[in-house]
Amino acid sequence: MTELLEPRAMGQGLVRRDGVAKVRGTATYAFETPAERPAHCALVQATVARGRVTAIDTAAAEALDGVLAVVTVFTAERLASVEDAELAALQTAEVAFRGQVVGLVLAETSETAREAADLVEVTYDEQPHDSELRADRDDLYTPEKVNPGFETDTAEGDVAAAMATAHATVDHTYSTATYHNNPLEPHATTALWDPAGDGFLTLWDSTQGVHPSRATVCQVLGLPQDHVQVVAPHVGGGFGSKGTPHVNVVLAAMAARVLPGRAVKLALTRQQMFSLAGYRTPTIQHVQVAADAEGRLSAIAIDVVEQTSKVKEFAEQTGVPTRMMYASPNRRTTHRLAALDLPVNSWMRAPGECPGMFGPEVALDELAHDLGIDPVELRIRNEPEVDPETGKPWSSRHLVECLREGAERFGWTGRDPRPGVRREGGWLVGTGVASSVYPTMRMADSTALIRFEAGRYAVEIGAADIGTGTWTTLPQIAADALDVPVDDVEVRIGDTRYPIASVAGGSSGLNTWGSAVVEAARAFRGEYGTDPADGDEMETGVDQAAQDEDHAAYAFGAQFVEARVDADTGEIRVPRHLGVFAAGRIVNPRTARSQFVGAMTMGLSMALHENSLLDPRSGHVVNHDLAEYHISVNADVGDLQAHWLDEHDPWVNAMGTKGIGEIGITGAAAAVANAVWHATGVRVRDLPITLDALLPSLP
Amino acid sequence: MLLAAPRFALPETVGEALSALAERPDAVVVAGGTEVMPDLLWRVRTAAGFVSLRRVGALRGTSRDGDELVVGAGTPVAALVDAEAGALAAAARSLGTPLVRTEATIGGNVVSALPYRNMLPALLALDARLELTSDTGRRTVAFDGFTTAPGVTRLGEGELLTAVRLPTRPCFSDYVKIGRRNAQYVATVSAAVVSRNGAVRLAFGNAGPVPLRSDAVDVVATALLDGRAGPDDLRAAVADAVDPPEDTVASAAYRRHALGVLATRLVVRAQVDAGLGS
Ligand SMILES: Cc1cc2nc3c(=O)[nH]c(=O)nc-3n(C[C@H](O)[C@H](O)[C@H](O)COP(=O)(O)OP(=O)(O)OC[C@H]3O[C@@H](n4cnc5c(N)ncnc54)[C@H](O)[C@@H]3O)c2cc1C
Repeated sequence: MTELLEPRAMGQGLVRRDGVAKVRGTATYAFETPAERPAHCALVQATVARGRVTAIDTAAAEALDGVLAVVTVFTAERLASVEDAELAALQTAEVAFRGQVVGLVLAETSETAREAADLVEVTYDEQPHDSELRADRDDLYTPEKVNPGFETDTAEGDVAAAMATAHATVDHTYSTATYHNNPLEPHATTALWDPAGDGFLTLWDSTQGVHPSRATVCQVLGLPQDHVQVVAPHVGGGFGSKGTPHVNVVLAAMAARVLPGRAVKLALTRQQMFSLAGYRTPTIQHVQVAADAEGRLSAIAIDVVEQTSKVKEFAEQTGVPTRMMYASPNRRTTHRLAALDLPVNSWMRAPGECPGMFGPEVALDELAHDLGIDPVELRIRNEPEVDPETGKPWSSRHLVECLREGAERFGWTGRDPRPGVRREGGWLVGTGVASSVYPTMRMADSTALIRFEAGRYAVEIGAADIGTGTWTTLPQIAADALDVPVDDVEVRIGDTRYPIASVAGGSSGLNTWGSAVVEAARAFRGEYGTDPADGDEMETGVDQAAQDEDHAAYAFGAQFVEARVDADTGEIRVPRHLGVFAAGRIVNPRTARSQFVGAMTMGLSMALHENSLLDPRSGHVVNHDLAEYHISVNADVGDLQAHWLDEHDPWVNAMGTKGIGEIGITGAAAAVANAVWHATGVRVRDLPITLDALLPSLP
Repeated sequence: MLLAAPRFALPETVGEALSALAERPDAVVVAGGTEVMPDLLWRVRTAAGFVSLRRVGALRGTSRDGDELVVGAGTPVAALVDAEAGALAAAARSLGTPLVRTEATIGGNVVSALPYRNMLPALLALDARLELTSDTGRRTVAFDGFTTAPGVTRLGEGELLTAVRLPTRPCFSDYVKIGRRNAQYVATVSAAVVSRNGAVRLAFGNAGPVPLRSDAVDVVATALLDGRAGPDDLRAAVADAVDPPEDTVASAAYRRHALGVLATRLVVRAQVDAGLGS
């Protein structure tokens, strides 16, 4: 158990320290990094889904005025490591997916670079490709582990036997679509290779972690860490797609090495992001639930079929939340993959929990209806005392309180359970609920430095602010750890010249960096007392040994949605969406609210709009731009509220924080689907819910 | 390169624009650029040069000419959101985003000629006429029939759309569209109505390859207005008249159904306006 910091600055809704600069447009993003006479890089991408490049004619491109260099799979430098095939840029003539980079152009302007890239003529020996995910494929395989290292399959008891004898069962297949992360700021890098001595590479990159990014780049290019600097003061969102470097970063570095001493800029276009920057696998979820007449579960199981790219395995841990969410003696989770000739899928906001809280949370709604039990009450009846998976006690678990408080705030009490019977004007009206969950994580590697400078405290750590608020929240933690006013703290983040920091991923950022800052502050005070001399400094890492292993640590939540469906057209509106979360201490209510409502909106978007449409004939996502890949807009969001409980968790870390970046997206789509069912009586089990899926069965 | 100077003309009068076009027969006319620019970026269109209408003041704004309202082709959609013709205003209000509406012009919408564009059913219902100007003079044609296929119009080589003309006789008119989102979407289907002296004229968007209307539908719609027919009759008539596309956004069957719903809704609104319904 850790001694929790006394919150003084923590808990205050301070405005973003970088807010004014962002609003005025003076905050510098990667692509805008000032550089003298930068060269611009454009990519040449494969137009076949599988095959081999047999020839590349660069003559027309090279002849264009302003073109500086053309590099292809036949001429590129050989990389030190090709172990990570996604990052082995331009190392092979084999084409593994449509859109794979087979060449790059460097030119004086971005327009010239793009025009030249269009003029590069690539000849292929095209081979048949395979890009269709189906649950009945005979070549599904069992991955060794699922992301980031969970068991692939788990089983306890006998689900089949429980299903055979239960009072009530639900046995259905649910599916989620392919989603692309689509942060507002595209993946972009300004790269400079200084050839002096052994050379020095600087990458101003849009990344969720400068140190992890540097480590990867060093490995791929065979450079020592002290010859590479990665800088990322401001990042326009990532949602996981900037959590690990993708091939664009390696390409930017390679391009810079072609023009030593000259900065090179490479930004992916929105369309290129659909093949090069990761995405979420579609999932097919066979869910089984068995219960007695009182709604107590005797079995819960999920069998997941999803995809991975043949280039690099990524097994989304979709079944993982089913392992711990509810009490049940018989449980089973499995994951099977189809390896396809498609781009590399990867992290997207709440990998695992996001798709994995769709099927089961809808299945529980179906069970509640079958049993005539309120869906809030059904969840409460299946509250496990300890983690069903590990038997460990919870560090804190307030799902029941979230459900109760949410029901109260939303006006759930007295809800008519019958589906499809409420009409207001031409609208069918309904409400739905689902639970949310996200594990509380802390990474092993993070170090903070605290220095007393001119009467103030400088805190240095290579942390990231991907829009989450780190510039503002880390000073709040430091202020409380040092017991000084927050204005006396300045933080410096987003640069590998500061001490090592972990990735902004897995909602672990503030948990990890904050722990390092608290350690450093305590060590600083221990060494220098409360009256330090100018220049006194202390550098300390997170204390991994003190990490509690005896408790299961998760944040929980409950989401309530009102849906209205036009009885004549099937148009869907969500006028109300309310979430209550128990996510540990909230460091800054202003930035936290933005995380919660942002993620809830992303879940709404998943329920109703987002859908990457793959054409299996071409292996290509056809709606690869924001005109056709629809994301919920402001007008789709009604009264959207995020609330939280004052949760005090002494086991997770010194701040008592659990991480809030991802939990809001989990369960949101299920709550919408359950509300749409309650409005219409039409149970849609495949996302997104579309007008024409509802229409034929509307009352 | 996109903007090399010799290939780019920035005329200030219609005359200069026509000469600029004559000198660059392969150039693309750009008004607001909200279609042209994405097309270029997405590589679905190439351009040997550009003639921008941005500075041609005479193409912007509205005026009266007898019993017609003359809307300059370069008038931004944002300037039409309060237009007197309800269908025009509603089509303008639901086009894109505020940013897009500020740049997008009515002329660009008409010449883009895609069946899901907002203005097209509104103009067809309103029985608009188009003023087309070339080196050899000016001609006025009915909007009905101007579009011959998706993206294809009867605009001649070297010809510019200079104005859209709308009758100002009093009428009730309105426009509605359906999509998956609540804003900023291409119409899955759309419809517009004009009701004048007890007669209804309906027009439909994304109901076929070109903006579509039908005498048979209008007969039933008029009957519905004065209570001689029911909503189901109108839906059946619409279902017969339309030939909507099938794509990843919606099935043809859904579109056919939704077009009937929109038609009925618009006629009901006309009824209310005429004091006939409730
Ligand atoms: C984010 C976004 C959202 C959008 N949403 C909608 C929507 O909801 N509904 C909708 O209908 N459209 C929508 N559009 C499309 C577009 O904004 C409209 O069609 C707009 O009216 C086009 O006008 P423009 O002036 O920008 O056309 P431009 O791009 O300048 O031109 C379009 C075409 O018309 C030609 N042209 C333009 N003016 C003339 C002229 N006077 N004479 C001859 N040819 C001419 C051009 O050569 C070109 O072929 C959207 C676009 C964007 C980018």
